[in-house]
Amino acid sequence: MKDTLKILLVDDEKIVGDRLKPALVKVGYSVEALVDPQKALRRIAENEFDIIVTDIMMEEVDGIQILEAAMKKSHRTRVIVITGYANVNLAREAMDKGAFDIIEKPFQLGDLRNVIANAAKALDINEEINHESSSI
Amino acid sequence: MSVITLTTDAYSRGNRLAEGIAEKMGYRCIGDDVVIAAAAKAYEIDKGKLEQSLRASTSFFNPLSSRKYRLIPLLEAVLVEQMCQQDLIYQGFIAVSRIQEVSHAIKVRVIASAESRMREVIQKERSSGMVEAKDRIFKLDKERQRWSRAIYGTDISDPALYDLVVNIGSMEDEDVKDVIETIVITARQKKFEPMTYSVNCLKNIALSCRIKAAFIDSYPKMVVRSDKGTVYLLVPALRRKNQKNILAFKNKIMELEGVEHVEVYVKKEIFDDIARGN
Repeated sequence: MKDTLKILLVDDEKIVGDRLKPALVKVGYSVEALVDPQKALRRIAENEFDIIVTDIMMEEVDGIQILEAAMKKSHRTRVIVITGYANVNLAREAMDKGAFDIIEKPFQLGDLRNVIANAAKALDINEEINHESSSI
Repeated sequence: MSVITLTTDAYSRGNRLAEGIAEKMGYRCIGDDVVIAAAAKAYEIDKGKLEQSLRASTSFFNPLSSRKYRLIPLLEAVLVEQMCQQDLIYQGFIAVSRIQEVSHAIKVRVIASAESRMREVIQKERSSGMVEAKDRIFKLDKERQRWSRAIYGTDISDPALYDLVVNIGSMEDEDVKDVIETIVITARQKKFEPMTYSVNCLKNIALSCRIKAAFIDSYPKMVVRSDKGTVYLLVPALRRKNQKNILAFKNKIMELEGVEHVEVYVKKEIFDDIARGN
């Protein structure tokens, strides 16, 4: 597993990125925060992120499109959906399309940190499995 | 924790299906008997009374005010708590309407043909014939529908309540095996995996149920909603003398585990139905 996890934060509310980014950088992650989901799609096409944290309700491009683009780019990427409009249908759609987890806004920073830690652990396990299968 | 609810009509081999699914999935399997026993122990209430509360035929006059319906929240509280604690398959119809928003709780309804149910009645109850068996099934189905309408305002046979409705047909062994396989395949879909949001949804419901159960005798018509430790109470038409006791009431609720903040709203009776979406 890589030393520093690359995380992309996508939320059109600037305050979300402003608050989350420093807190996650402090823990040791490499974090890129974007308010423009179009730009996020371009970044996803260019780069393989370890973890993407995305809002759902955004103008022009929604979080589901971000999720789909991330899964198209790499199934290794763990996508965490954060939304203030969670419901049973949205939750199931996001999970069906490959989301790692869904957190309802507002949330405590500790909640997100825990989910990111779980995602990191899942990446670790996944890479161990891949490594073992490639050694066989 | 994953949850499957399996709602079947009486004499539809529900137990066998539930046990088969539980075995394949590695889940704990419980039915109403387990829920009743746990509620009897937790709330020190006679098991027979709890059993009656599930079988009771409804009256035309305000069923929720009746003593037996006051026992339902106790059963709900115990059941939802179990759902929070472990991978579970529950065979029954308590709280199925309550957990509609929980995305990792798969609601399954299984329907069997009338003929096979009648045969089951004859075999189990040593009923004298098909006509008697048919009457029994018809009566039980109607009773359960009325119960569900009275408690939840929904028809338990409404397919809209379920994620999966399976017509098992004749209930031969092969049919049962196929249905178990279908439900297991559905339950393993990623969209039904527990996630932070759905787990919190279930925890919120569990807390609401616990509070409702704890104060059911004092406030039987109280509507409780919870959100991550914040509790919203809609108390219909408190008497003037009781209104002075709101602070004491809030303090009592604050003592319950998992409660961080309480908001009490007092409304006239008419708002009770509106708040529940009726």
